Formats: sequence, structure tokens, C-alpha cells
Amino acid sequence: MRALWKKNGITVLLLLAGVVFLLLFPVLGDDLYLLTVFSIALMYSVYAASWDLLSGYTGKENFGHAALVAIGAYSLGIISQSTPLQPILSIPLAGILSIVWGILIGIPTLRLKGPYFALATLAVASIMEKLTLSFSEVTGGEEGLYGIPFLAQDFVPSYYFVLLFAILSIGFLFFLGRSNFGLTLKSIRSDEDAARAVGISTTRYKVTAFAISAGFAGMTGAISGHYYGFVGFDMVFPLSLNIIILSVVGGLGGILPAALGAFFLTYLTELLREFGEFNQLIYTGILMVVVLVLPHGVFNLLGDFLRRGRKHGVTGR
Amino acid sequence: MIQSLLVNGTINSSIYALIALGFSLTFGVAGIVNLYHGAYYMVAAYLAFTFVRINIPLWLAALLSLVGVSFLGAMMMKYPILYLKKKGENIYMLIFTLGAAYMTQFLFKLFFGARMYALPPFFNQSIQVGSETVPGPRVFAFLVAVASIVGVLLFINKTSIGKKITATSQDSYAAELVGINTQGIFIITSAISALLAGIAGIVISPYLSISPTMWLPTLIKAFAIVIFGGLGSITGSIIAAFLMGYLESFIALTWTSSMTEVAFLAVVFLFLIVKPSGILGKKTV
Amino acid sequence: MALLAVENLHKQFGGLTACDHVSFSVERGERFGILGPNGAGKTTLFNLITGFIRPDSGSVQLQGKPLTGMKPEHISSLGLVRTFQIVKPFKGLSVFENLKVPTLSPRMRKRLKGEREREKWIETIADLSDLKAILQEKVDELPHGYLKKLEVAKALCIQPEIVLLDEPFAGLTSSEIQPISTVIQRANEKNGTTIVLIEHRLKEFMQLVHRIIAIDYGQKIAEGTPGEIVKNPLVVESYLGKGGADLVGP
Repeated sequence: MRALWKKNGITVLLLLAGVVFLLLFPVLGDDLYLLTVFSIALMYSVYAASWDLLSGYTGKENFGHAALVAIGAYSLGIISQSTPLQPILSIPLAGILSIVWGILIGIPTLRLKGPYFALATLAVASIMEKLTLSFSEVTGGEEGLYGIPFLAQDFVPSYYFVLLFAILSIGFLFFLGRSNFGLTLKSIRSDEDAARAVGISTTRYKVTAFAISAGFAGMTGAISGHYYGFVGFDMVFPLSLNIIILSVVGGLGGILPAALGAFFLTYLTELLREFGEFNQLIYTGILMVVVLVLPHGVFNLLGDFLRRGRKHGVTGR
Repeated sequence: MIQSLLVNGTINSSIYALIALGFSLTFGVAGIVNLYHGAYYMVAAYLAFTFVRINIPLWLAALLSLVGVSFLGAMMMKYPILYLKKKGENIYMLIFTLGAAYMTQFLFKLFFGARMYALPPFFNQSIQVGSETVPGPRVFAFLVAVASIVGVLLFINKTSIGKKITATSQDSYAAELVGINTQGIFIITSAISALLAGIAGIVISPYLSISPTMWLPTLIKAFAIVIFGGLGSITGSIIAAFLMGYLESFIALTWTSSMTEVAFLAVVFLFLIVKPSGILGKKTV
Repeated sequence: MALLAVENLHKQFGGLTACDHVSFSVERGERFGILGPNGAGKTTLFNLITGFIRPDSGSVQLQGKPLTGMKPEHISSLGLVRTFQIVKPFKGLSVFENLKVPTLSPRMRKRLKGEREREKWIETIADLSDLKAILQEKVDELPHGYLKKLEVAKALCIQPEIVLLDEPFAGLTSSEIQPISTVIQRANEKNGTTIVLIEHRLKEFMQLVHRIIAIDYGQKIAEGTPGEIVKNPLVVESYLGKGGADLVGP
């Protein structure tokens, strides 16, 4: 903790300020619209954070994150058609189901190298997408499923629910990333054979990361179902590409940069919504510019800058 | 039934082979998984449509569109793709090319709207094949596809540029050492890939609709076929294209046509897990 | 019982016999050398022993326990570790973090309880390997000599019974080799770590090892002490070609 403070004092202060702002926001103002925007942005932050744990830390880029969200969201949706499920049940259930699903997908795919893993996960998510449309009697097809209990009676408590969930989830993922577990994941990304040569069971670590990533994705999927009161095709499946965009723009490998990227870009998207069709264009345009110019990520760069990156010379400092 | 399956399967397969060939070529020669590939198919179709709309004769419109899309292919490689390749990380290439494809989709949606369009047919005489009456446009598509594939294969095997392409695909470092301008070869290959996809896009537009989302199923099919046939193997892609084409016709006949995409994807997935090098591919996994 | 026993290890890649029924054994505490010209199959031997490649036939035993078919990470956890000829540091991480990863293996988790013990162990190894001064530096900017030291140190961090070093001196000047040679000797004499060494730098190699086997074209062609090996005509010929023994003289 002390190390965090010493090296990143300014960043920590800024983050704390941000959290305090988010906590106080409903009290400070009356803007229901912004409240909704923030809620959505917070959910996307958790999606991004969960994606980063696997893809940023191990370097195994998941192109089908929506598949994991879908399990959480649709299990809630489908069950709620007969018995409306309350968050207290649906969230752990979503977590467990998506963890299991993550392990099932992860085991065969995680040993694939380079772009093959990305393509495999893309294939899985696409298959689920097509099946969701095909079996529309169960999944609601393009229209989706309604009748899901809301998080709370009013917008403000819902917002706090989401905020609390986001803080806890992102916090957990962040400290996990900083732990020895996270370090091992990074070593796998850097050089998997070298990690195996020093005794690390890399497959086990990768699958675990996938499972944790899946768990949070699924839980957030369930939460978004409760937030809207409904679960739908357009809510879930475009996420695969969107989350990659948000996380890459924010920056990989640190949980927080990706989460911040997701938060701010989502906010930006809402601001741009008035531009209608242009919105998507600008969105993808930003992605492409960032990939070409700042692949390290906007918030990673910002973090480095605030830390006033020290130059490490071998001859000492 | 069988006749219909065979005829339609063969026609569709030839188109798939055309599209997959370009995708496979770019990977085999430059080592790049170009997720923008489906977009070339779409761009050529829209370009041809636009030219026809301003009253340019059909054949000229097609020609101009092909020139245009080949140029696009060359430029995509020359600037962003090669730049990202040099930087190293593959993921950014995947993200960029996929993003560019979506961007192209959004652009076309903006300019053309979500309405679906079609090109006037190049050739309208129906042909009898056994008990099947095959519409002219489909016959034309098939003939052009086969001619193009044969043309490309001849080009690669007989011309000196073609030989340079082959050399680069075998070992780009060695090719560079013997004086081949590999960057130039990559660009030419990309242009050829785009051209092939473009031909497919134009030739099917009389009977399949032009829409801003037409690139994605095409991309999925292309990489399903190429993974199945083996990334980097031209023969593999062609064989796989025919296998998948017949499989698709079979599924459309016996199940539903919406399941065909699931079938394609399932094949990709299975091969990726079990035999990523496909039936004939390079062992680069 | 020998610490490491390799028996009839055989591997063919198509028509090429990379490892031709090679047998040898290494005693605990020894410094054992493997000599041979480029392409002789030395690294393949390491890959076969440590599980990175599956042999076609033959066996490898660590203290009587068969290792064939085991995954590299399991073999490492048993105490048999290797380094790589072309260094494989964990880029983007610091030297300290590089040394920490081995301590997170199952083997070291059993032996080191808690972060503090882990840190102390890493500092001990860093001290032994002359890396203490640069523990906080990111490896991406380190010069080659330090990376070679790090490569050895990483292996030592898992407290191996036996470590297989693949050309630890490659690409270094004589003055850079000395510190690494010292590290290897220290690890062997102070901690009792058994060493198996592939090297081309003959002067340093001969001074360091107790016993040697010579390999050429995948086959073991000689075995003995440094003095014996140097005079062995087959060995000389493997480096200098037919008739090379005559060039060198009796």
C-alpha cells in the first residue's frame, strides 16, 4: 500500500477524488440522465476490467467476451420468465454459471497461440450469437426478454448499487492484478516457455484468469439485466468488440486504465449520441487512431506521465 | 434434391473459394490475418453500384470498381497494416482491421442507408443443368469465379512476380536476402487479394443483396474455410471452400439456412482446437 | 545412485537424427560439461531432458524417478531446471520481479513461507549472482551481460538440485564471463547445486567442469576429464574435420 502511495501519489488522489465525486453526485445534482449514463459507464468499466485481467495480463486476447456476459444476462432473463429472480440470487448464480462456462471454453482454447485464440473465442461468441437468434422462443431473439426485477425502486438506489458493485469488483481485480497471481500472469504474457521452465503451471493460471474474468463479466451481465429490467440481443453481443475498443484505448495490463478508458469513452459516446449515426463512426475512428498512435493506451500513458517515469540506468540513479 | 444441392453447392463453393483464396494469400505471403478482407467484397459491390447509378455502363463500372478496390487493398497494406506489422503486436492488427471493417460499414450506412441494393445482371440467360434451371447471373458468377481462380494460379506459377510471391511466402527473410522487395510483394499480394474479393462481390451482386453488413458473414466464411483448409495453403483453401460450400447447401436443405453460419463457425472452432493447421496448412501454430 | 541418468535417449526429426541413443549420468555435486560443434544436438538434448520435446525412445531419471512424458513445469518443480541459450527474461518486469516468478512455483511455495522469506531468498540469490545493485531496474534496458546473469539467477531461484546451463557465456567478452563463471562455481560449491553445462568458450569451460561428454551429429563420441577430452582425436575431428587430429598433434 505504501509503495502504491509513494510512486503514484497523484494518481491515487485523482482516483479518490473521482470516486468521491461519483458517490456524492446524486446528492449534488438532480440530473437523472447523467445518473443513467454513469451507471452504464460503470458497468462497462467492470466489463473492461474483467477483460483486462485475462487479455491484458496474460496476453491472450479474448475476442468473444460477450459470450461470458451472455451467460449471466440470459440465465437471469430466461429463469425470470417463469420465476423472477432477485439480484441476491441472480448475481451469484450468474457468477457461478459464467465461471463454469469460462473454464469450459478456456481449457481447449487457451493453449492456442497468437491470433488463433482470438479467432477461437470470436467463433464461440458468434456461435452463441447465432443460436440466440435461432432459438428466439427461449431467448427472445432480437427483442429480448422482459420481466426482470429492477435493482431498486428508484434510479438513485440503483445507481448506488451499480457503483458499489463496480468499486468492489474493480478494486478486487486491481489488487488481484498487483498480487503475485497477477505477476505470474504477466510473466506468462512475457514468455510462457520461460515461465514453465521455472516451474509455473501456465495452463492452470490462464484458465483461472479466464474463469475470474468470466465470473465478473457474467455477474455484470446479470446486473445490467436488473438495471434495465430486460435482457436483449443488442445489449449483449456487440460487447465483444466494444469492450476491446474501450480497454485498448484505456490501456492494457493494469485493470484501472482499462476501466477508466471504458468509463470515459462510454460517457463520450453518450455525449455524441446526438450526432446519431456519426457516433459509431467516431467511436471506431478513435479506436483506430489509438491503435496506430498510442497502442499503450491513453490512461497508461497518463499514468506514466503522472508518475514522472523515472529513467532507469544500470549505473544507478 | 441432390441435383439442386450439387449445382448450388458448386456455384457457391466457387465464390467462397475466390474469397478464401485472397484471405489465404495475404496470410501465406505476409503472415497477416486481415479481418478487413470481407470489406473489399463490400466496397467493390458498392462502388459498382454507384458507378451504375451515375449511368456508367455495367462492364466499365465493374472494371473501375475492381481497379478501385485493388488500389484500396494496396493502400491498406502499404500504410496501416505494414506499419502495425513492424510494431510487432499481432493483436493490434486484428483490432485495427476489424475496426476498419466496422468503420467502412458505418460509413456506407451513412451514405447509402440501410436499404439493400442490387446490380443489374451481367448475363441473363438461364442455363439448363440436368433437371435444374440455373439463372444466368449465377452461371456468370460461377464462370467468372473459376476463371479468376485459374487466372491467379497461373499468375502465381508462371509469371516472375508470381514466383517472387511464392518465394516470399516460403521465407520472407530469405526472399529479402536474394533481393526481392518483400514490402512491394506484400502490397501486390494485398491488391490481388482485394481484387479477388472484389470480383466475388461484384459478380454476386446481381442476385445477392448489397448491404452495409454484407462483409461480416463473408469474412466469417472466408476465415472458416481458410482455417479448415489450412492457413497459408492455397490448395487447402480451394478444397475446403468446396467442402464447406456443399456442407452449407446440405444444411440449408435439411435444417435451416440460419444454421449454416453456425455450421461454419463450429467447423472453425473444432479445427482451431483439434488441428489448427487445418487439412493442408503450414505448421505455424 | 546418479542424480541424473540419461539412458538411450533418442529423437528423430524426419530423416535427421538429432539425438542418437545418448546415455550418460551425472553425479550429485558434479560440474558436468557437454561439448560439441554447432548443430551437434546439445540443445535438443536439453529440450528432451526437460520435457520441452518428447523423445522417441529412451529414458531420463532424476534420482531414480523417471521424467519421460512429464511437462516442463513439473520437471522444474522436481528440481531439474534449465536456462536458455538465447536469454528469455520476463520483459516489462523488473529484475526483482523476474526473480520472484520462480519463487511462486509449487516447489518454492513449499519452502518459502510468506512474502518476507521470499524477499530474503530473492536477495540471497541476487547477491550470489551479482544482481543486487540492479534489482529494481526493468530488464528491458539491461545490457546482455546482466541478462545472462539473470538467466542463471532465475534458475537458481527455484533452488534446483541440478541446473542445465545452455551456453551461459555466449555473446560475452572474457571479462564478462568471469563473474558468471564465479556465480556458477559459487552455486555449486556453496549450495551443492549440480551443474550441467553446454559451452563453446573452451578455456572457461575446461576450467569449470569436472567431467565432460562430447557430442557430434547427435551421438556421444567421447567421455572423460577435460585433460582426456582435449586429447581425444574424435573430439578434435568433430571440430576441425577429418585429419584435424593430425593438425593438433599428440
